[in-house]
Amino acid sequence: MNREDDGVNAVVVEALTKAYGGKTVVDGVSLTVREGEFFGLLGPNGAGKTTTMEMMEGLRKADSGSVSLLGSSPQPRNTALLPRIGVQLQASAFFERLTAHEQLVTFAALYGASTDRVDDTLELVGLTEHSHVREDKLSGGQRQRLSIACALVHDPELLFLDEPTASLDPQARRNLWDVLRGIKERGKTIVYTTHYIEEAERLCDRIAILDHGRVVAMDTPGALVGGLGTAMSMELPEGVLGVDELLSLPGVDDVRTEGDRIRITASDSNAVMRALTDRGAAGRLRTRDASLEDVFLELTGREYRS
Amino acid sequence: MIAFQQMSVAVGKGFVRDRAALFFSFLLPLFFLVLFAILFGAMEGSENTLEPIQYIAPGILSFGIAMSAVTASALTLVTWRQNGLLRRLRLTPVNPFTILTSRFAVTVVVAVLQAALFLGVAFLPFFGLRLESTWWMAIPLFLIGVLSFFSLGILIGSLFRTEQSASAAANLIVLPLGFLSGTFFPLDFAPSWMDTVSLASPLRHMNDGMLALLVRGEGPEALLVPCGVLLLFTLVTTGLAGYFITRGEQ
Repeated sequence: MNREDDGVNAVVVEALTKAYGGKTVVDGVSLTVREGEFFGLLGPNGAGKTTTMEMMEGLRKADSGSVSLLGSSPQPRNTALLPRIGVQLQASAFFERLTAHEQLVTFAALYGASTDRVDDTLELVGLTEHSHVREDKLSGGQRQRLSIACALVHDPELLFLDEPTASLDPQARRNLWDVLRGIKERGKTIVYTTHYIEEAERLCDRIAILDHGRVVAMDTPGALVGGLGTAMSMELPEGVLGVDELLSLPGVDDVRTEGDRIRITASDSNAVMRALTDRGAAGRLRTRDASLEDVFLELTGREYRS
Repeated sequence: MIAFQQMSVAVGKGFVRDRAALFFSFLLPLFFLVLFAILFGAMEGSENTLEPIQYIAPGILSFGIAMSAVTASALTLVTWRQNGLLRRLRLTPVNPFTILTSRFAVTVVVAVLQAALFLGVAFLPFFGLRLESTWWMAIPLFLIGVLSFFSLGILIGSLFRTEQSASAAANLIVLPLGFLSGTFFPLDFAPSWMDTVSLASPLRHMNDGMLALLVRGEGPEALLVPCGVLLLFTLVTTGLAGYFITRGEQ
């Protein structure tokens, strides 16, 4: 979080805390989002993502801590700031029985914005062909895209999207990724929440991993994974080589049995590969690049379950 | 201003596309009219000085408007709270007063259309309604009456969490008000306690004023008490609704 490098901060959050009925949901979250950045709040369900997001938007009042959006505070309700931000809440909120086009015309008017951008926004989210379909006749993915369009139609600088890809089928999620990338290309700052690890890895410039209301890590996806020390995760089926023999190989740091496979953690994967090739076991080896799931496991000691 | 216009258009379109709402607002009062015209037609020769249609038409009209204004405004509030639109609107720069007035504007337009259709049918020779020449003086009363029903609906909407419970509550409140207020039968026939209780009902005062102006040919001074009471009713219900809405947000 160096302030000097990429210029201006769009979001500055300091030590946000929120408790409900004695249970702390958000526990001292601090983060900074730079202008033009695609920032992901990643974490399993119940990690406090939505509560954190809604405190940033000004929808919920924090017990303590502060939020600054584009240099001003969203609390109390700040009607000078609101036109500069766009919000998609977790539940799609539309006017009953209006078409996609009519929703956008209405939302533009609520922001005092012109309706010139309505068609353009529908095209950006890929709903041009459905512009005259009523909201109750749209599919789940189309509703999510319309919801994002409603957040975009007044041309805000900063966008908050709460779980835009949740409960979508894989195809619809991929379509939405293209939409989100398209929005980023237009220079918007995006803060978004997700519980899909590989999605955050693909889309985000930087990620904050939330667990039990705390930020457990925050950096670029590459730096988070790189910080693990292991660049690669290796697995052998059980019975190919004994655990003790594996531990004695050059470059191996740790060996763990997981079900019917053996997981090898290595700081020098090349040395391990050579040693396994010498023993004729390399063909049975399965490797994959280390991912944010490994980061989560390392930081929390638990498997990531969204 | 553009926000007010487009909100009104949005709510209006939503209403027009809701068949159940159209039925309750426009056809149900006509069914009541037919039903009571037949019923009272059979009772002709009673000592009531007015022709039955002269008495029942203004009452059924007020009742029909009350029913749809209360239900529609209650349901809008509950639906918007349930689907998250109310929270979403808080994150737009629009003023809550603009939201309320645009919703009210739609209620007024619907009520005027209801009245036009209803009176148009009641003028048919079969029913034979005749209005006094002073009928237009009832317009302020009509608007204040609609306002009081609207605020009652907002109060109900602020108290109930689901559409089912809110629409049941609206029915359970407005239907007895109809009986209490002389909509379906003159209060002259009712026990005196009912007459007293009905003084708390906005529908009673709307009925009184409408009857006085539309068919009894009384002057504008007959509007003072009904309008005053309806305004007071509006103030109290709006205040209560405001209290419950603010409390619900915390």
